[in-house]
Amino acid sequence: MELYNVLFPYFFLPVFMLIYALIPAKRRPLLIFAGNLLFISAADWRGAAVYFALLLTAYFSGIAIYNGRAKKDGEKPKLARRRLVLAGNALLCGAAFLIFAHGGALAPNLPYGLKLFGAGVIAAHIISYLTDVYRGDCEAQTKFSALAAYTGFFPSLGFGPILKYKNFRKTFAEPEVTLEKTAEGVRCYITGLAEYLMIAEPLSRALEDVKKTDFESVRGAPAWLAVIIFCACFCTTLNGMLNMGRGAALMLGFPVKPAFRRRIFKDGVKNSVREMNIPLYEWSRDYIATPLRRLGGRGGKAAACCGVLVSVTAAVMWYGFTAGWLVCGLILSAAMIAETAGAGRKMPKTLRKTLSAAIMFICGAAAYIPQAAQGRGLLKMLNAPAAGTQNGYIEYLAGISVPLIIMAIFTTNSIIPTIFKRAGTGWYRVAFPVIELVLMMICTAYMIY
Amino acid sequence: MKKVLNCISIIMFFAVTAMIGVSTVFFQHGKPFKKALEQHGNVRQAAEDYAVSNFPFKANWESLCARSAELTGMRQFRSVYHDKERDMLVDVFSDYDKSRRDKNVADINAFYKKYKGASMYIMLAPTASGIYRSELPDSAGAIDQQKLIDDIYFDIDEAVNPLDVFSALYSARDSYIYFRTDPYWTQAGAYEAYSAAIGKMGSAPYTLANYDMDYSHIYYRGELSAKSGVRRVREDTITAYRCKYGSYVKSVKMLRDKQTYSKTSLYNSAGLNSADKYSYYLGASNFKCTRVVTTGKDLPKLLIIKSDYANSMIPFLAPHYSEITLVDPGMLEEGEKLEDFADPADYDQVLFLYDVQTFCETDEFDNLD
Repeated sequence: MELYNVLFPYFFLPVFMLIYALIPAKRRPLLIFAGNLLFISAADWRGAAVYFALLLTAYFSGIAIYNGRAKKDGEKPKLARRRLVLAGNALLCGAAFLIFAHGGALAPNLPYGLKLFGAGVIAAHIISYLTDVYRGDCEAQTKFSALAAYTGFFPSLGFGPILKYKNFRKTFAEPEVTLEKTAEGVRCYITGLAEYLMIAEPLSRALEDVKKTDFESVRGAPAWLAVIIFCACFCTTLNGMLNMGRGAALMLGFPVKPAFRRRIFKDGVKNSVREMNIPLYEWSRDYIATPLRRLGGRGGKAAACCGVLVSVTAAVMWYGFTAGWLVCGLILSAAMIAETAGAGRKMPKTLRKTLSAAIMFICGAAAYIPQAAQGRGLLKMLNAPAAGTQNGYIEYLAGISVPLIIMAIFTTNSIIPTIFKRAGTGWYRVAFPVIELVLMMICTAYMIY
Repeated sequence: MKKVLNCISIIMFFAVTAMIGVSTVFFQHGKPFKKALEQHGNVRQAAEDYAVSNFPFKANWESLCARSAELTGMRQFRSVYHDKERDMLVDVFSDYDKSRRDKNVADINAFYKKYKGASMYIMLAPTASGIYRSELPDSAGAIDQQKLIDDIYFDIDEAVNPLDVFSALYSARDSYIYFRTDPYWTQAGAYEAYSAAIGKMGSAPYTLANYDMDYSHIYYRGELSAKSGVRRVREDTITAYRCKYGSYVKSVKMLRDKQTYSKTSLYNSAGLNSADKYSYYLGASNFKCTRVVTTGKDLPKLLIIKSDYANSMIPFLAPHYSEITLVDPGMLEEGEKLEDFADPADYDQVLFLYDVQTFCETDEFDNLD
């Protein structure tokens, strides 16, 4: 069950929140765990068995890692055992991610079509928990329900946001619901739902349209427009899903910060990557790049570059398991390494912003074109065809996508919040409940259709 | 102030979602959950299907979605394309089961071999998706119906006379020959097909000058509008072509559920007040057999094996035949055969009259023998 499915806001959420509000805070992790199991089982009940196995492994591994620390002065920590347990779990989670993420794209012949919904988030959460325990940032969680609530946290299962264990361990033990968080959660959820259903989904249908169209009609200008559609679709899908996840988490009492920053022209490639999905960026920095850098020694530039390469590529693979995404990850890593290397040099801000926008566009093209071209010739697709072979397809494609692209531009950057801020008064807040209701009605129409 | 607004937001959101959820579960009027479960075999998909089909004011939500999507440039809604230039909805025919099509061709060939005595004809009418295919986007995947009809005619036994009506309909494509919101041709479209085909069946067509156009003054939006949710399209209207020189029809007898209904007109006024306005032509589409007896005494007898497209053409065929029997194989029950209602050997001509989409999708021809 996804957060944008009609079953979630109209059937699951009211019942869940009613019970959630009535039970004591200590019992809420158990209810969240039940919700997690429901979400995972809805996709495939056998996936719940896989999740449970990963959860049990993480639970006992956390305790083993914590118990292997030096408890008294002078006592040596059981380093080898701690590292082995951590590495073993990292490999297990990595394997679970590769096998089950993206509907098992890398392992299509799983027995009986076994699926694990949210494999990526489950793997990320388990790695976060065990690494934080290993580093001594927090104790091992002995309350099974709290760990179970965290690892498969259902608001995050679809696409994120990934939550770092050390930041939320207390909240997961005893979540507290407040009026302010719930109201913000409702607002966030509806905004995310509207962005996803009204903009992202129609844009993805426009991309499907391109796929079904004759190659000669798509070559040249329509292909370039399709890249812009892809970038807009990607940004609005990401924003929408992260907003829905954050909104649902806030409603449950988890103070999750905004997962992205809305700015159309970002200051540098590193900021672009970071601000697109802040939790994913911080997770890959803290749990992939930093350990790799430490392995190579703190001063090692090669290790640092390797860390950036692996962490950025792994983070990009979160979005897709195709050669295009891999190339996108490599381009981004190279750009980030070059940016870090040239950090001391002065560059006009406009040029820097334009360069970073251009690099992000090239990455979008790298991710999209191979899957769109489908072996029909990458460069051929981007080149203008001979005169007379196209039949006005660009007009049709522009007609079904330009209004949505304009809406995407408004929603994925800070134009609307800036207008409200500069209005100077808080009068618009009065309209929020009405705007939310109207948006919810329109989103319902899209869910029903 | 902020607290009050937060309260309002929360109450409005949960009140609306809870109300709709309760209404869907306790005031259901759509598909029962058991049926959805049988259909999908999967609890989650069944729950989703149940929720969507029982959602209160579903048609209004769909209309809101279609309107909202149109504002952002969308043109295709499910399999229905909104052709804004012609202001009509086109049900795109994009896929069919080739083995079923081949089986239907084989069944017709076998039928011909059994009843060689009668002159046999086949008329496959293109749908709007075929005539207006050049105006649909490539991605809609509309089938080239002209080629499809030609291929089927090629595969049919050469003794069965194929009647080409595609060219006539294509030439008249700028006229109101297909309903804008229903998946049928209008009576004007049926006339074009009749005019092109009747010559090959041994008669000369009666020109339009012999008919008065009777406007029903009923304006409506039909099946395609309900299916797509698109309401911002010009309404359809029903017209009747009535012979200036009086009705040729002596009696019309229709058989359904072992009951026979009799009348003297080919037009069914009650159809104008029903949801299916197309039933104005000859009556509801669920009659097994309809027998039309005319005043013509020495004229041949015609047996039509048909889909709903045939209904609006009967007023034009009636003056040429003493008796026209229409049988819809899809309405026959298990164990019933065509011969239970009409023996093809008793007829001078047998006509298979289908729209090409129904022809390719139907599995009814088993009932012919």
